[in-house]
Order: sequence, then C-alpha cells, then structure tokens
Amino acid sequence: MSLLDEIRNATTKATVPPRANPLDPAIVVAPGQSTSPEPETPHGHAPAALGTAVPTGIAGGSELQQLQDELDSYPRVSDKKVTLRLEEEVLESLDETCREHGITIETYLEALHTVIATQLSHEQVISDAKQRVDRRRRIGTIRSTLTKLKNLQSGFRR
Amino acid sequence: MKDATLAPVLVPMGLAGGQGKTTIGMMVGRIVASYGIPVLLVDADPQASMTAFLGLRPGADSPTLLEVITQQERTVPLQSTIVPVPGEENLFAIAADDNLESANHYLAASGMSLTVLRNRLYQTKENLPPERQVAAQFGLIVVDPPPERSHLALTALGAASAWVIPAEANVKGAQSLLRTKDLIEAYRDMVPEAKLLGVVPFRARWVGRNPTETTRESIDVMRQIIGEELLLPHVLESDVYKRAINKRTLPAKLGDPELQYPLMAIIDRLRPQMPQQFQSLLPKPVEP
Repeated sequence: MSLLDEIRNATTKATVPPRANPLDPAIVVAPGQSTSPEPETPHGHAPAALGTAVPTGIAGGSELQQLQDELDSYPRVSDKKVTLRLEEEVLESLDETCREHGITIETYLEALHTVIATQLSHEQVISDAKQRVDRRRRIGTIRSTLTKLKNLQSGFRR
Repeated sequence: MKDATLAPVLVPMGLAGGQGKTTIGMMVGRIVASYGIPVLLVDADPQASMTAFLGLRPGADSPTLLEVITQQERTVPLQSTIVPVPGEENLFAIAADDNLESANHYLAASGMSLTVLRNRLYQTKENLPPERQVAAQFGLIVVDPPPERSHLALTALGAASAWVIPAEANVKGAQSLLRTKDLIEAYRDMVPEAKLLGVVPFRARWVGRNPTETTRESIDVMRQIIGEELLLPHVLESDVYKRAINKRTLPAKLGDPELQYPLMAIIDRLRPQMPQQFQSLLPKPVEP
C-alpha cells in the first residue's frame, strides 16, 4: 500500500494532546488568580508570559478589555524621543553591562535615575532595569495580541 | 538542493488581506489535482480559511500545522497530520485552526522561522527511503500563508520553491505588492532555490472590452514595480470564483473554463519544478 493510500484509508485517526486556546480567559487568568494579592515589586506589576498568567487585580470583562486594562495599568512611555551621544568608553561599558544583563540602555537609564534618586545600590539598578525590560516585552505582546484580536473581530463583522 | 523527485512548494505571498492568496493557492491546487496529480494543501493562516473552504473541521486533538511546526517528526510524524480532502481523489491537506497563532511564539523563540516548515515538509532530518518520503508522493505542495509580516508568514516564505504574488488590482494591492516584494527580496539570499513566478493582478474589473481606469492604472503600477516579464495574466473579478470555492469545485465545472487561464499560466511557470512523472500529466502550456 502506498503512503497516499495509507493516508486515504487511515482507519484510526492520529491524535495529539488537545490544543489549548492561548487566549482562553480561563487560561490567561487562571482560576483563583484574579483575587490573589498583587506580587510586591518596586514598580508595579510582575511581568508574565502571555498564555500563562497576567498581572492580577484586573477587572472582569472580555479578554480584550482585560488586556487593555493591563496595558493601561503600565506607566506610559513618552512619545518624545531622546537622542543620546555618549563618550565612546562610556557607551562601550554601558553596552557591555546591558548585554550582560539582557537589558537596554533606555531601561538602564530609567532604572538608574529612579534608583539613584533613592540612593540605592548598583545591583538594584540592574534589577529594576530587568523588570522594565520584561514589562516592555509584555506591553509589546499585549499590543500585538490586541491588534490581532481587533483584526479578527473586524474580520468576523465583515 | 531539493531532490527533483520531491514536490515543489508553491507559496502565494501577500502582505494584506483579500489579495487572493487562498483563492489562487486552492484553485491552482485543484486544477493540478484534476489531472490526476496528488496535491497537498497546507493551511498556514490561523484564520484557517483554506481549512474551512476544503470542508475540514479539525478536532481539538487532531494534529494540525501547529504540531507540524512545534513538534518533531518522531513525536508527530508528518504523515499523521495529512488528511484526505472529502470527495477528492488527489487532494490532501494539513489543516489549521486559530490556535495556530501559538506557532508565532514558538517560531520567534526558535530563531529558525525561515527553515522550520521547509525542513518538516521535506523531512530533511529523517533518513527515509523515497517511498516513505511524504513530499515524494505529491506533485505539488501549496502553502497558504497569513497576510501579515509574522513568523508564520516567514516560515511559509522560507518553505517555498516558488512564490507567486497575487495583488488586488487597486491601490491597496499595489501597496501590498511593494511590501511583499520587499519582504521576498530581504530573504531571497537565504532561500536561494526559490523562484518568483510572477505577480497576478487579482479581481481585475473590465467593462465591455476595456479595463476600468482603476484596474488599468493599478496594473500599470504593478508592471513598473515588478517588470513586464513577471506580470502574469490577471484574475477577473467574478462571482464564479467565489461560487467555485463555496461549491468546492473549479470554474470550468461551473461552465467558465476561460477563468482558469490565469491559473494555468501559474502552473505553466511552476511545471519545470514538478517531478518528471507528474509534469507529463499536465496539458501542454497555454498560449496567451
């Protein structure tokens, strides 16, 4: 029997573990999570991967609204662009630090300003910047998901 | 380099919705299958339009393209993901559902979007005899990509042996063509075997013996963008295509064989890439 005939005549269908809808509200906000206390972080919500959990304390409603609420809960990043020109050695050192910790110069500077203002240590600056990187990643994921959901909805309306 | 006994992968690319990717991919697949050539249709769009048009409704535990992309051959063999299209002798499919969206996250993390689907379809990591190689059983594989610049679109682009760009005969279509051409050119060096067959102006409108001004102007713009050689015959705006899709048949079977002419022109350009034994089943090239 040829491979095509095997496909045509397959008597038992192959199965895989049931796929979970990554945008299913039951998964996005796991049961019991919506009322649990907010994790303590210095600058708001703890980051989370889409499809596992989102920051808690979000009001009910559609998943679209939940994502929008979460997006609104993050500090707004200014539209104003700031161009930085740094001494080569400083930039090199800054680049190396950021590469080493998986953060960006923007978030490093944000965190540096915030932390130095309260006279805390350099390690705390790095820790703060890491949280900001995660948060921006989360914001990007949400924006992308919102756009796709809205496109899907407008597709259905058509 | 792709073995000449393996089916080529045709990918209609277009970075906007409604450009005719699914229509052209399905019609080309149906026409080729109508000559007794086995064709595999792969739905790579989470909107799963092609899956629905083929009358397939994958269950939550049926393997789909998501598993092809995210699992290895030893876990989910390619063969197990292929289903025969109901009522068709030579048409087969790998279906999708909206969970395919998750594949974008997997591909983004893999860093190998361009090669994942190609490697799976051609089972490049397996040491299989020709009679067990899926791509050796088919004369043509068609992948229907999503309409946005996503990792799924990139993995479809990278799986191609041949691209065709359908573009609506209006301003949106011309813009889509520009963006799609740029995307293909950006990755062309990394998919050196793939060939751009051409651009198909889609839903061209004619009044009497003349194209409407919008159609004529937009086709002129497309000619400037892509060049005369790559401008393929246009697909007319016609309800017959929509009826053919809904009735799961071809325009010729609805009494309009001439509407298949632009699709045959694509097949003619694709023919040299098809395995020899299947090329001989196709009719002689169409005359313009």
